[in-house]
Amino acid sequence: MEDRELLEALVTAIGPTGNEKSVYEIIKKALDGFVDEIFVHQGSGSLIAFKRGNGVSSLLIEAHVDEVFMVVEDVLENGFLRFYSHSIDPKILPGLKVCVHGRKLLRGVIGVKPYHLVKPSEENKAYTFDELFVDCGMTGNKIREFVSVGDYITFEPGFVELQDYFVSKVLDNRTGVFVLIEVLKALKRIKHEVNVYALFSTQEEFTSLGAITSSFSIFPDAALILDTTFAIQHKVGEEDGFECGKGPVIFVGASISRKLTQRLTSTGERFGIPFSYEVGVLSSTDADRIQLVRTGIPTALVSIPIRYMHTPIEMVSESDLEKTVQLIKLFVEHYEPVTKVQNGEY
Amino acid sequence: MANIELIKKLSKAFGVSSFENEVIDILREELKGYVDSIEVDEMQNLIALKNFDSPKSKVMLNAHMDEVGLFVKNVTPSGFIKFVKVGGIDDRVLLGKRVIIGEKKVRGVIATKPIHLQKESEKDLVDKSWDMVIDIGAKTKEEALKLVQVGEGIAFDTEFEEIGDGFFVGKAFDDRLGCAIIAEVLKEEFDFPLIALFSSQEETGLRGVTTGAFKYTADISITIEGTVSSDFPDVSDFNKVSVIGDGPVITVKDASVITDHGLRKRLIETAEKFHIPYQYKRVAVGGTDSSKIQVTKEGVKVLVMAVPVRYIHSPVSLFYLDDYENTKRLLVEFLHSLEG
Amino acid sequence: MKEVLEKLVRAFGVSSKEERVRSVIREELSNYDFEISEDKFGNLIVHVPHDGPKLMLASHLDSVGVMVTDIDKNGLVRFAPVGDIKAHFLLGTQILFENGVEGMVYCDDKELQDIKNEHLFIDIGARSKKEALSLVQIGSGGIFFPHMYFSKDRVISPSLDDRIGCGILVEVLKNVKKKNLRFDLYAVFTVEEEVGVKGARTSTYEITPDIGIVVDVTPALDFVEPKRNAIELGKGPAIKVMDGRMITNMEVRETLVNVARKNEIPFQLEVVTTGTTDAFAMQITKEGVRTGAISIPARYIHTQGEVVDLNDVKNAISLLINYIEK
Repeated sequence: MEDRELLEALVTAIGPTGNEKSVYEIIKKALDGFVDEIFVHQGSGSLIAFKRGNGVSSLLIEAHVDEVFMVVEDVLENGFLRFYSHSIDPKILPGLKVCVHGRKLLRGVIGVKPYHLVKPSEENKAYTFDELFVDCGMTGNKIREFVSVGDYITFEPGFVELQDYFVSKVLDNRTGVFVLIEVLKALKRIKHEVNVYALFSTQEEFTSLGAITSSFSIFPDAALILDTTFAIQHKVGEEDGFECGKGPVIFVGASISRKLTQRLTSTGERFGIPFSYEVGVLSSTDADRIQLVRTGIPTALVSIPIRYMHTPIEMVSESDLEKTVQLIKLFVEHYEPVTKVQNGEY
Repeated sequence: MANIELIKKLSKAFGVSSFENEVIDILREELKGYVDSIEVDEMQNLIALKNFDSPKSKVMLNAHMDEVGLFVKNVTPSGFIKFVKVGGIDDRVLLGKRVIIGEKKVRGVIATKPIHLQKESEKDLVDKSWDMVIDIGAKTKEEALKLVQVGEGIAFDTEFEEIGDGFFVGKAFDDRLGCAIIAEVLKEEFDFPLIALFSSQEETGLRGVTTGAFKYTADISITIEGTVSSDFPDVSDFNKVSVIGDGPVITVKDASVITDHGLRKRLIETAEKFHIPYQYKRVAVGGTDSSKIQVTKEGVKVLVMAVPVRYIHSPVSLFYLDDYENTKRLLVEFLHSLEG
Repeated sequence: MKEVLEKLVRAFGVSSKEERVRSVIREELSNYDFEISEDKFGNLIVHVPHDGPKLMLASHLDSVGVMVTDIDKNGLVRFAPVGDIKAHFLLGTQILFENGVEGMVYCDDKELQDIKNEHLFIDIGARSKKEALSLVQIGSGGIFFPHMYFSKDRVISPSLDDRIGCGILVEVLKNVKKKNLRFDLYAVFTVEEEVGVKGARTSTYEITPDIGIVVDVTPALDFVEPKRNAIELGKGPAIKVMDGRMITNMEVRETLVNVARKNEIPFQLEVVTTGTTDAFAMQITKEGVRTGAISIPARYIHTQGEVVDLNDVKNAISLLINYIEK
C-alpha cells in the first residue's frame, strides 16, 4: 500500500484525548504543499486544513485524531500507579506494557500476582481498575519526580503486518486520519468544485469537543465523518460486525442525511467500490453531534471495520483502507452539493 | 370541539423518527391559510410562523411529530427481516404485532413461537428484540429486498377507533395529540409572534428540537406532550404519574427539566379562572423537548403540558377526549392571557 | 469568609429557586464598583471591565434538594429529588421548605433493604391532605436543613456544594486589584447546575468568553482505606485535570499549576471518575472555551453534612487572585 510509512507513523504517534498535538507534526508534514491553509482551532485545539475548490459550497471531512487512554489517578507510597480509563476494557490490561507520560516518558508494566499464588476463588473474577497498577520500576520518592496525578498512560506503540492486515493501537481512528490525508493529497491533482475543510478533531473518545466546536466555527454546508466500526471477529458475528476486506461501511440511521449518504453510495456503485450498510439509530461517532450544530448540518458517515477495538492489537485490512481512500476521493471529485436549507446566524 | 378527523389522520400517519414526511404533509395542509409561513428545516422539523414581525415577546408552541418504531436492519436468507428499535420500546410489547414498513407500506408481522410448542423453561423467558424477525410473506432474501430496503422505518399497524364513551385507541398519541392541539390552536388569532415547532426525532434523544429552537429562539415556550398515565390497579397513588379523566397534566419537574415557576403559576391561575380541570405530573419521569429549548442560546422559559395517555410507546395507546379538549382549552386561554 | 459562607449556606436555594442566594451575593458586593446584572435565566453576572482576553469565572448558586410532586391522602409529602441524591442520604434527614415549613424524611420500613427515592416521603406534621396543602404546594422546593458546624479548620454543613465556590468568588471579587487584572473579568453565579449544568450553558453563550474557570467541589475519598482517589482534605485546592465527563484545557491547567508553584500555594491535581461541573457545559459552547477548574475537596457531597477544609478555601482564593492578576 502506498504511504505505508505514513500510516505507521500515525498509529505509533501518541495523542491521547486532550493532548493530541504530537500527531499534528506528522499530519502537517504529510500535507505540506497539498493544502491552502492549515491551522489550529483555538476553542478545541483541533487541527484544520483547508483546500480550495472551484465552487462555492463547502464540505467538512472529519476524522478524530485522539486515541483511547488511561490516566494516573494516584501515585502510591510504594511507587505504583493507580489508574483509570473511560474507554478501555480492564480485562485486556494485565500483563501489558504501557507508556507513562510524565515529565519524561517512562515505560511501565501492568503486572499481576504470579499464578502460583492465585487462589481458586480468585481465578474466576475478572480484573477491575481497582486491582490493577502500573509498575515503572521506581520507588515512591523517585517516581514522584516524574509522574503526577493526571498524567496520561497509553498503550505501547507497535506496528505489525499480519498477512493482508495491519495490527496496531489506535487504528481507531488514525486509519481515518490516514484516509483523510490521502484524499487531500489526491485532491491536489484533481479538479474539484467543493471547498474542503479537513478537520482532525480532538476528544471524540470523551466529549466530542473538537467536532462540536469546530463545526460551529466552520458551519459547512455538509459534513462527511470518517471513523471505524466493528469487524466480524471471534465473539462478534454478523449481527454486530462487518467482514474485513469487503470495503468501507456506510451508516444508515437517524443521525445522517439520507440525501448526502445517497451521494456516497451512488459514487460507490458508479465506480465499482464495494461497501456495506450499517443500520442503527445513532452512530456513536462525531456524526451524531455534528448533525445538530447550529441550525443543522447534513452528515454522512463512512467507517472502516476493525477488529479488537480499543486495544493495542486493533486490526484492519489493507484493502479496506485503499478502498476507503478511493471512495472518498471519487466522492469529493464528483460531489454535487446538497443544499443546506438555511444559514445559521448567531 | 376537538377535530377527531385530524387526530385520526395524524395517528394513522407513518412517522417513525427521521421519517416524519407524512406527518409534515398533513400538518402543512391543515395549517394552510392560518399561518404566515411554513418551512421544513435541516433536521426535518416543521416550523410555522404567525405574526413573526410583531415586536412583542415570542411564544413557541412545541410538539414532536415522530413516533417510536423500528428500522429494517437486514434480511435473512429466508426473507425475514431483522430490525433495530427506534426510541424506548419494551421488548415485551413486540411479539405477535402487526407492522407497516416503509414508503411502500408493506405489511408484516412480528413472528412469535406458538405457545403449544414452547417448553416450560421457555415460557418465562423474555425474547430480545435482536432475536426477533418480521415476516412479510417473502420466501427469499431477493424477494424481500424487492419490497423493503435496509434502513427503512417500521411502524406499528394500529387502527384508530373510539371505544367506550369518549375513549380513543390508536398509535402514536405520544405526540400526535400535541401536534393536533397546536394545529388547532394556530387557527385562532393572537397579538404576539407565535412559532410552532413540530419537531422531528424527539424519541431518538430530543434531536430535531435543537436545530429548530436555534433558528427560531422564543422568549417562552410551551411543549404539549402525550404523557404517561399509569393509573392501573396495582400502582400506588403516588406512582400513577397521571390519571385519565383528570385533565391536562402539568409538569413541575421531569427527568430533564424544571419548568418555569412563574409561568406555571400563571397557567394554574388560568385553569382555575376558567374552571378547567388539571392535574400535576406526579412522578418526575421522562424527558421532553422543552429541556433542549430551555438552554438554547441565552435561555428560554419553558412550560410542559400534556394529555394523559395510557400505554405510550406500545402498539396501542388510549386517551380520553375530554382530557384532549381541556388541554387545548387551557392552552388557548393561557395564550390569550399573555396578550396585551 | 466564615460569615459570608454562613449567609450563603443559610440562604434557601434549591435548583430553579436561587433568588435568595442571589440577594445575599448582591448585598455582599453592593459597596463595590461592579457591573451587576441578571440574565433571563437568573444567572447573576458580575463584570469587571478591563483590557485583555475575556475570562469567565463560574460557581453555581443552586444546591441539591427536593421538589414536592404530590400530597397523599394522609397528608404525607411525595417529592422528586433535585440533583443527584441517594435515597440513603435523604432517609432520616430534616428538610427545610422554602416557606419555613420543616419535615422528616422516612419510608415504609419494609423498603429499607433496598431503599430508593420513590419509597420516600416527607412528614410535615400535617393531620390531613387538606392541612398539608395549606402548608406546602406542588412545586415547593426543599433543602437539607442548613445546620453548620465549624471545627478549628473545617466546616460541616449541607450545600457547601457550591456555596463554597460562591463564597470564593465573592472574596476574589472583593480583594482583586482592578488595575492589576490581566483579563476582562466576568464572575457568573449560575443557576440549575445540579439538574444539567443549565445556567452555565446560557450564560457562556451570552458572554462568549475566551477562557473559563469553574470553582466547585470535588469528592475527597480520603476517609476510606485504601483511598479511592488522590484527593485529600487539607492538601490544597485541586486543579482539575479530568472528571467523569470532561478534560480541562491543558494550557489553562498548566498556568494554574505554575501560578500555584510560583506563589507557593499548596495544590493537588484532580482526577475523578464520576460527576462533573459547569466546566463541562462551558467548554463546549459555541466555538469552544478554554476551560479549567479549581475544585475544593469535599467529603460526603450531596448529604446533610458535607465537609470541607477551610485552608483549602483560603488557598483557592489566593490561587485565583494570583491567576487573574498580573
